[in-house]
Amino acid sequence: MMWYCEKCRRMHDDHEMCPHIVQQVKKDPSIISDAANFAVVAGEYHLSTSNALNSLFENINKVAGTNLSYEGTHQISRDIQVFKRLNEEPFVRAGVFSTPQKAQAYLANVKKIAETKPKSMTAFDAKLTGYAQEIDWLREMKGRIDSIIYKSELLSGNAAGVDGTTYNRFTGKTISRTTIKASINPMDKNSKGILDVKEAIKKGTASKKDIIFGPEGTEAAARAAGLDNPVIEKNSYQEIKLSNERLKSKIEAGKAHTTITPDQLGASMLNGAVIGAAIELTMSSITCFIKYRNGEISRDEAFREIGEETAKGAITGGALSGITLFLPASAVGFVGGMAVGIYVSAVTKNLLDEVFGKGFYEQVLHTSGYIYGTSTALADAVQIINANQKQISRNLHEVRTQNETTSANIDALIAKLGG
Amino acid sequence: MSIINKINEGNVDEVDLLEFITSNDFEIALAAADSPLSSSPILAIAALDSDKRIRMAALNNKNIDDETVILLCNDSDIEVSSIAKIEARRRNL
Repeated sequence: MMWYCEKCRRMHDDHEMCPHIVQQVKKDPSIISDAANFAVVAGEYHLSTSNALNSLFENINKVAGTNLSYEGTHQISRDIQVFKRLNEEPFVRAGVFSTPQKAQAYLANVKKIAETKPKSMTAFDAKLTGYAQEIDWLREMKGRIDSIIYKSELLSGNAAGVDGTTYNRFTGKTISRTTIKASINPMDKNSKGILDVKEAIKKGTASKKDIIFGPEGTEAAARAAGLDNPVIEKNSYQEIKLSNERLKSKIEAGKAHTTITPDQLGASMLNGAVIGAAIELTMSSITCFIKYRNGEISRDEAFREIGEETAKGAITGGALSGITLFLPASAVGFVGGMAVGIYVSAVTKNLLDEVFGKGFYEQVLHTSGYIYGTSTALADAVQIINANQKQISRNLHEVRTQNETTSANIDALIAKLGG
Repeated sequence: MSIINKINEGNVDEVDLLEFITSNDFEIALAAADSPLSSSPILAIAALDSDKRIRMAALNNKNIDDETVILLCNDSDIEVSSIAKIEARRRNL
């Protein structure tokens, strides 16, 4: 990431270290290992909460013929909240989402009806779309820095015009009202959601000050329809479609939980440590960490920036060949049962060697507890194991054949001696 | 015309009844469970209902299938399960 340095009044890019920061690092080389520790945690947080690890599993599955998958914790908890909302709103009386088994049976019957009446599935999809977008609004509002002061809540019972309110936690004063719209089709001025807002404003159940929270394209659609309301956009219509498919898959699999279960927490954990992912420790992540240490950015900002940056550089077990890998010796280095290590690219290595002298940074990481080692690509490892397995089988076959020959010889000898 | 009147007069289709059977309005859900237009999958959904009166209405609907009758034999409510067992015997299940 490019950043502007006020001290030297220049832009610095990813592979450059500001001379002021070089001085700071030279004075205190342990900053390298502190930055590595921070990057591992931030990167792992990002990997475990997002679905980035799933692509890792896809590569491993291709090579090793396994069937692993990983779902990020943010997505798990969001989907649980959607099922909970379904249970507390549209199906609150009937209770068909009160257990995963009931939800599974409910969807199975909707599908039966949809065989001849496809509109019945469309109606259910509309519920999933709408209530999932409500949860996404709530999560969006709760994730904001100003949620310290403001609280957002969804309204119950199909309130006319608006779906959520945001108010000052301390005074109770309403700050804003929001109408939440969603669609599995691109938004335009004639979309049902936009027409509903116009109708609500006409009837007086909504106003021009109310926020419209909708999928991408909502703002352009609202303006084209003559609406001046403030707009917040979240999710594309394709993401909404994918979300619906995923939610229905979970319902069909009997996994429409409305609370977090111990099984879910342990579901993605594997036995044994496999070198699955490595996060790149870049110059910019070291710089970002130092800026946080200097108080120039907050911990949250550093955590987020480094997390996203390092997760972008995360490479899978299929491609680790030839890279020097540093594994944190503590449990924090494991995500989902897979070891997550730090690697330093050739460019960064050269820069650090320039700053400290050749090999010095490796010693710094090593003395702070990083296990220094080489790596091998998973594909290569599987090939070697297969080749070894074949050799072992051949050896076994030879030994068995020899044993049979020896036994036959001994039997023949005994028969001769006996005769 | 109210929804209940529509159901009672048969001015609804299967898609409507699917919506009504899980309605948060108990009377609408009950009317849907009683309706002779409710198909077996709709009654199977009614058999999941948290309210025993809806489950009983499903059980008394002639369109209920064998699988749902068997399911209701294990109902948590003794009245529902007893009547389901009688129906199961009548159907030789």
